[in-house]
Amino acid sequence: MEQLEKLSVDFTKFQNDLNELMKARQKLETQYQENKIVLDELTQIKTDKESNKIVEYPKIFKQTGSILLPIDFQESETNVTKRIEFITGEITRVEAKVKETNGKLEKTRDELIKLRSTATA
Amino acid sequence: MSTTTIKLQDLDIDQLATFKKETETELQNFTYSLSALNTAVAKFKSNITNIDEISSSKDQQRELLVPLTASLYVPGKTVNNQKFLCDVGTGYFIEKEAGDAKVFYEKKVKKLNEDSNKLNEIIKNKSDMLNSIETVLQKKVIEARAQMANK
Repeated sequence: MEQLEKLSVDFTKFQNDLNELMKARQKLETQYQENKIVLDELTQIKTDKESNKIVEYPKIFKQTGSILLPIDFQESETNVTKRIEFITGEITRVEAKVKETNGKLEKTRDELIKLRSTATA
Repeated sequence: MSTTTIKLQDLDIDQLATFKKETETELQNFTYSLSALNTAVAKFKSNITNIDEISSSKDQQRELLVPLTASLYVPGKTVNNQKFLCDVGTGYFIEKEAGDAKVFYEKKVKKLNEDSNKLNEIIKNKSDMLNSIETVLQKKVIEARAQMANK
């Protein structure tokens, strides 16, 4: 009986963990998409500049708190690229954890079912 | 995830009720997303009108009221009415010419409208599904009641 209780506690815990991880995954996806839009915009500017469609890089500002700070084109490009790299890394990390937790969850469920059937038998 | 077709008829009342609740929550979420999308479209559209309004003025120094807070304004003049700072996301603002800025927002509006159409389709499907679930559920409940009465 004690074991059964422990297993169900674990089961609920893994379920919660999985929910949290899914939320984190969702959030990362949103961040990824938003950064991707910014990077696409910057890449477009770069192509325009390199093909001489525009003479100079436009002014770019980064919002820090409630003020806008001017920022170099190159700097903004590196920042966004780095940010995307970081987010992609986080996504891989979270997905690995999702897989791990899912495995644990399934294992606990199997054990629970096994224990229940022996208990009723 | 594998997709298996389950007939609504094969589900019992409890399962149907749970399914109905789930579908309702989904529908609610989608409707919420749709209204968020439409708000965004309206915002971008008003950006476009504003760009037109400001940049069409022949006088470069166009007078306008600058909001300091939501309820406090000071009169101001644009230094250059052909350049706009566009929020491209994650706190980055890029200076664009009036024409480019308009194209930028028009693209956004187009993309969002496409998304909104897709979402509308999904919502329609979901609410159709909800209707079928409800019909089957009602039928099952009536059947169950009739059986109870027979006993």
